[in-house]
Amino acid sequence: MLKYILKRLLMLIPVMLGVTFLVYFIISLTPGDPAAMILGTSATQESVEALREEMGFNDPTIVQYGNYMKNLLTGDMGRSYSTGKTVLSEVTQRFPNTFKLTFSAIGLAILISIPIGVISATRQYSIFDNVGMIFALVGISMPSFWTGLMLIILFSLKLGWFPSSGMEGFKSLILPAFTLAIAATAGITRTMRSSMLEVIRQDYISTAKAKGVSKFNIIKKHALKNALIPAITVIGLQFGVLLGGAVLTETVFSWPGIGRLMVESIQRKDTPMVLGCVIVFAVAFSIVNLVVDILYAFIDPRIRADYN
Amino acid sequence: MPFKYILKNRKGEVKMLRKVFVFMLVLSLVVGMLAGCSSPAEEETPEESTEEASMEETEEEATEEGEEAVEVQTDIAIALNSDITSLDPQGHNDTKSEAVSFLLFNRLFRLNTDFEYVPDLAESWEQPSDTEWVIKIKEGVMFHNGNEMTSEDVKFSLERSIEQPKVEHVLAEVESIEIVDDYTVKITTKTAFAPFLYSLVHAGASILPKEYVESGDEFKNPIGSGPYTFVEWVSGDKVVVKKNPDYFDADNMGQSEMITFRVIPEGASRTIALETGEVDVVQELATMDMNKVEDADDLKLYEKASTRVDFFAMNNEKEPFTNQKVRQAMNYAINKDAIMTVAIEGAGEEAKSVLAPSMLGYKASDYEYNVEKAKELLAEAGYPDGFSTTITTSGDDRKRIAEIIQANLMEVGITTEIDMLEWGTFIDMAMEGGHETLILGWTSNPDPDATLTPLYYSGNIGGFNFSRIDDPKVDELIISAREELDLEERKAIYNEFHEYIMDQAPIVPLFVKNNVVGANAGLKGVELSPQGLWNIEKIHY
Amino acid sequence: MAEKIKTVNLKNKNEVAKRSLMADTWRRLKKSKTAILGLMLIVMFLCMAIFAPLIGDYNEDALKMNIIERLQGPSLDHWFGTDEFGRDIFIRIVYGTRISLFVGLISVSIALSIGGFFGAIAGYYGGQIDHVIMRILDVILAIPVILLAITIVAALGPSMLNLMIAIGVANIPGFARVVRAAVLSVKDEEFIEAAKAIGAKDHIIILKHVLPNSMAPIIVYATLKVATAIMATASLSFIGLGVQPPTPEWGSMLSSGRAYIRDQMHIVLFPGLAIVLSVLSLNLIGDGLRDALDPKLK
Repeated sequence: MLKYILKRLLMLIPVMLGVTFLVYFIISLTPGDPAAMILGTSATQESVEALREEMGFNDPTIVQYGNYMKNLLTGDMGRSYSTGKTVLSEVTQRFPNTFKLTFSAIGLAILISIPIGVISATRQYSIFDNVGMIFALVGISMPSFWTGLMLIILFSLKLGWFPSSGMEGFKSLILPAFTLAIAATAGITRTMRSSMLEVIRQDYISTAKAKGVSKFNIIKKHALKNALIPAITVIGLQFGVLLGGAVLTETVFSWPGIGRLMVESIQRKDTPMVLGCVIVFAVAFSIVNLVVDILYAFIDPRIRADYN
Repeated sequence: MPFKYILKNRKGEVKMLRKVFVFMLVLSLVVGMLAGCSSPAEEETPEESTEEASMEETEEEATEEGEEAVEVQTDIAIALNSDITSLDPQGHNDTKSEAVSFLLFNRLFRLNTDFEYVPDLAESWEQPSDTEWVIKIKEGVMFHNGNEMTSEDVKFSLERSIEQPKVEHVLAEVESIEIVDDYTVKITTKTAFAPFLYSLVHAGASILPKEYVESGDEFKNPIGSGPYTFVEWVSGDKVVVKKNPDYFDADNMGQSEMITFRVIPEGASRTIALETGEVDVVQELATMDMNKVEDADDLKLYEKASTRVDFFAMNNEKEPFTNQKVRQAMNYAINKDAIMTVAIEGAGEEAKSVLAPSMLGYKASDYEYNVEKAKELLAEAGYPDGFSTTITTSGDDRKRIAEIIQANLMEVGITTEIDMLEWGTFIDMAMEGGHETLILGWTSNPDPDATLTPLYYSGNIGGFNFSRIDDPKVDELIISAREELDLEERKAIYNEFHEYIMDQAPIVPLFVKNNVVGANAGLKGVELSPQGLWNIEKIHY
Repeated sequence: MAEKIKTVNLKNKNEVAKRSLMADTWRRLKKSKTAILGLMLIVMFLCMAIFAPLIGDYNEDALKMNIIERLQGPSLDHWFGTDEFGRDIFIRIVYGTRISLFVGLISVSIALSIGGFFGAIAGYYGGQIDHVIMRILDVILAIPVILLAITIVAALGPSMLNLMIAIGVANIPGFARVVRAAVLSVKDEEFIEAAKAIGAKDHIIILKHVLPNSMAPIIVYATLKVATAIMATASLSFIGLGVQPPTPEWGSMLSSGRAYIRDQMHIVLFPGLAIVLSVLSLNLIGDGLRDALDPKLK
């Protein structure tokens, strides 16, 4: 078991290296002169040239990447071209906000989707099932920015229950978290339902029924955990979708997270900041996938057996 | 089949499985909810304790006017449409950061709401010669760290300002600064510069504590002398400042205990926040929401004509805008009424020259919307079939203007692409002359020269001369007006200037917008200058 | 009556199999009500895209500004109302269909061809090649698809072409995986061995034998991915990284309209509905196809 975890952790390193290189390479395709951007335009030609040399912008991309990685190890992600503050300080200040948002969203999603998925499966083809599945399908078809705007119209404007912007307290978290959660809920519900359906058809469930175990207990003791196994993978995948959705939701709700920071940095052509944001996203996503994989292995004894 | 395998395991393992699931579920929920409940980590400040600053106060509803105000709200929240870029008053050139800088720092002079200069730190001043200015600052002005301000700090700050890239244009006329005594400095300008004192009102000329700046804190916890002290800046979210009880100017003390600047980029959300009481003032109210603020009983709309001219600048160095007829054609091709309706919902008036009508020596041109005339001029210039070009600009409001101009130009055969940039990037590019055309607004300081020199003097190509006009007559008129001390004469020179420059048509002036601020009706001290919300330290319930 | 006996030789075998597979699939697809709904919707959108000029002229109706008529709600003249510049929203949505479908189809084609190529190779040859390709794909997959697309457009600049490239490239690993899995499921079949024994070249085998027999999951996946591509187009345009004005695109219409949501909700409502319905229709079809093609349900 431990061997599996270690192996996966070790595999994370080359993947992260690859990711940073990929992202660095893509961003290096951006046109523009970073030295001129930093100094602003009242700078003379000489000072721009000098800065270019000093910061290594004249070096080939590979060399610049190497320097970037070296600095990254010491926690130096460069400075913002526009505000001059360190990328690390900005990113560390904003990331917890996105963390709050996405984890609340996933928590909400899990809370809603698992019971619905289970009930839909046990009452297959009932009205509950059909309605639920329609909602789920519509849910994954709704773009988060539109959903967010619709929710703002209803809950902030017409009803005045929740604020439409900012991060003051619990109330301001609800609408954005809910917006993000919708698509994830839909995805997890569908998977939960289909894996539950598969599990129910298994022989051992019939055996349990024959033995006289109550329906509730069957679900609780036998079906649920087995059905949850594929759902866990989906949860991991949905997290990636959530991270992407966070970018849009944070814009609509003026939420000061790293998604909004990324969009603003792109508009500012603040390359180090964009780079920093994408890397943080990629690392977060990979860690979540890693956790999911480990959890999966932990729970599915087949994989555990392979490693014993 | 594999699931039977699980069933066959010992009871112990099955239980653990279940525990793991429940645990993970609960964990993610708890983490999520807890994270949502806790307030964001406050940055540590070496300042006095911020325990008094509780989250609740800023969300308190304003008391009704009729009630006995036992508990008057002491904290106010102001909504900004974008985050400040720097706490260093010499590290930015935008109005949002400026609003904060004005609360934390002082300058030698400041502007009142009529945009006349009045002394701030300066106690007395004289002008021994054309190029020399001797200014004495008030004694006993304390910085927030307890140190007294001396002429050392003044000299240091002004010299630093000249070195800082974002504000070096402010004191560009300064030749040298000498210390006369502990509280007096002598500033020598390069040439005779009548409006010099107006340069000192800019945030870039703020007086900073030499010791603090040299300590290398990089303005993480800025120390100034202003009516408010710094509390925190949560990037992208808010800036919080607290009243300075030891402020030197007892007449202009801060009125509210705490001011929070909330960053809300979405226009509709700002208005909603105002209506629900989350913020007390919206600095740049979305023009389409003006009627809502007017209609609401508990809100008040403040409007004042600004000196800001929004204009469409053409890069005079690039074809086809090197041709005067083309530029004039543009002045006929653009439908300013449509722009004013969409962009500012009629809250303003048409701009007919490079400055606002309220400025000294203003003279309107007589261009008007005439598609046929535009086509005629284009044909005369050699472009009967039009041409294609790019419009660069920044911000949602200007984007709408760009779209209208795009449609207007289509009518005369000109195809355009719209390029949207973020503000800082936009300004940088505009200064470099990377644009073909752009849309920008410039708020004028009270003296016309403060606008005309940076924008139209040939020496400022590479600076704020966005149209990159290089015309000897324009230069001549600017300089002679600047040096002319007789008011009537000066006015005449400016009249001639307006006539000439609009004939040359380096830009198409679009409109002069009214500044629109929405605020809670119970607020007192809300003042507007031609630049927008002013004297924020005076606002209170 | 004596039944005609169909003579089958090796050359026709695949065609016959395909024909009856398709007919079979269609028959089963028809049974699902939701899939039919999806089909009807997507046909509607296709018609809107193809026959747009019959509904309204592009320059006159979709682009031309009419300030006097701005911000009107839905009426007989303007079914979905007008936007802040006075343009008819219904016509703009109709023309926007062209862009969404075009970008969606092209980007998926890019992803399918490039991703499919690598996936097929990885699956067919296995071993080191498979290993290397999979590792590289793992790297790309470590970045959520939307974020990767945003990064690419941010670097290349916003335009419709870059949008297609970005969404296409971001979806390559997904397609590679699906094609690889499909190839793996078929490559050990007897008819492949037979082809190899005859001495058929590798690429012929892959193209003519392996892929056609493993198309089912690929088609389902591609359908679902066109849906996400349409969503991605709207999302990127919403934050200003997609199609530029004055081209009508659902996401950018939503973006410029959101300042007006208080009083003119229709500017935001209708483009959003267009996105939801188009994505929904493709999801319905994809689901229906998956069920129709699933051998277990036969």
